[in-house]
Amino acid sequence: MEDKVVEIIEKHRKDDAKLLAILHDVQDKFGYIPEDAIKIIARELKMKKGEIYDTASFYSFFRFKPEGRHEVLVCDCIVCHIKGAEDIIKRLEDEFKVTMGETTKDGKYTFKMVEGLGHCEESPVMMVDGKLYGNLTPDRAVEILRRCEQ
Amino acid sequence: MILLNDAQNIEDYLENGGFKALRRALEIEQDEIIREVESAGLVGRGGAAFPTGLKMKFVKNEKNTPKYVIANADEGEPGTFKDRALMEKNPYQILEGMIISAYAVGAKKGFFYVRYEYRDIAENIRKKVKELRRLGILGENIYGSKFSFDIEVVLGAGAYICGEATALMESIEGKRGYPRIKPPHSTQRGLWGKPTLTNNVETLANIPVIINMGGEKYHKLGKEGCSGPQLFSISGFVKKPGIYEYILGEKTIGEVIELAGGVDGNFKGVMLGGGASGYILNKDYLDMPLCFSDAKKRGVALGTGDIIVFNESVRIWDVLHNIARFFENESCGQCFPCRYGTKRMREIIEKIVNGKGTSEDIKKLNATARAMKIASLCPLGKSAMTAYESAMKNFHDDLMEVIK
Repeated sequence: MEDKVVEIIEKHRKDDAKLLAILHDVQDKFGYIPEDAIKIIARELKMKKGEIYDTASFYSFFRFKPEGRHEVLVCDCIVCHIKGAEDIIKRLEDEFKVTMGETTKDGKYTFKMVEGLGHCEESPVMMVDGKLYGNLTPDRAVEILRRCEQ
Repeated sequence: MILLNDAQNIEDYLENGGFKALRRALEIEQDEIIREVESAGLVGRGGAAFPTGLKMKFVKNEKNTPKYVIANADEGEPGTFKDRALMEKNPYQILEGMIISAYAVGAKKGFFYVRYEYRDIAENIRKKVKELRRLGILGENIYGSKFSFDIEVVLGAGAYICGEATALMESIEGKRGYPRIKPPHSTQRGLWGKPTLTNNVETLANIPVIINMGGEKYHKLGKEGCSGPQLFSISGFVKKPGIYEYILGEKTIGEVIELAGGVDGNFKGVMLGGGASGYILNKDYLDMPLCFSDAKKRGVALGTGDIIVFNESVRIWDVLHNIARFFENESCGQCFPCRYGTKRMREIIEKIVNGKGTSEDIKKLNATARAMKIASLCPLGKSAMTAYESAMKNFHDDLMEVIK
């Protein structure tokens, strides 16, 4: 871990806006931000561990424990909401036996409800591992996720 | 089209006169650029509609250095997706506007802040920045001039509040996205305490246009109280949702809905002016021209230029509940009126949605709205109840029907 985190920090050493960039890269590398990584970042940037955690914990997309292999963001903003997002959420929760914010027991998916993916022309939408799927129906949402299991 | 041209690669952009404005700008005085922007009457497209030229002048006149510029692409209002479309289709025009602005105010470094949800776009902008460096359009001595400027792309990590300029600065500095107490304004003390010019990406895309056509001529696009093109995000129950570009003041809300294919179902109302912090309006507003001054006269605002269309299936209390939950989640928690107010607002509306609302609850909501508007530190808390208050005005009977 030490080498990898230090390498990431060195990559951003010259950036002015370092911390978010480092945290993003650490999360990409390990799937989450491990406590040991926070220690190393604190040491290298001459900050306190608490200061790093203070910043990181503010942002909803930073996570501090491992999650499912696939990140599923289901949008329930006003536009998706009036276009049936609740039905999609309910169906996904039933089908995968989770509530939003949880990871499935087999560790495949982590579901999160978000409020605004910025693709309102295709509402309702969801994002799976960074890829956007629009004009969803409950059936189609399930089908898309079942497909990425294979 | 002036803004939403398709120029995703540099060849296309250069072929259509790209970076001509920058080359011209580098040959004229900084003050002259600011004068052109002022005479154009350009105001910010990120929601606040502040005069862009004036903001540039404030930063230019500051003695403190270094100065910074920020392109704000933290587009977080539900129902607003025009910045995304613009960054996808015409990214160089934004970057050109950013470089010209930096030259005008005397900044050497800029930050392009993109929300996490647009991660692929941030990656693309990063590539374009590298490309421009290679071409000598960014970096040392741009186009052989004495002016040097570079851009760092910053990816957000999920926080609606970071769209607020000072919260965004905190975020760039590596801190929690807490809005700062003003004054001092960020034009005086912004990033790392230095004078900083922050503009929405759509605003920036207008700068090359102004330099090319001249402020006076740009000003004539539109009508009294609003100039230039604007991108409108049309969504909800219309047949062809999407981004539409019109000259300000040229079209009414009703006309724009028709141009987006018309209502899918029977018209009930619209939400105008910046997603969750916007206004809920009824059919009386359909004839309102999309212009800052017309909106102001009617007591509303264009905000980020989004129109969410409601048909008969939409229940207003349900929409208000969604908005209340949004604000409860997105309140940064720094100031008490907003932290507690958004929670209280969600709890009361939830009770009403569950059919248990009383007239006492309406009184409580009104009091909460007033308190948040007076005492919140930043626009999030101040605008959290805009939707509720406007809905109460425009859909009063509809809303009161379920109140005991």
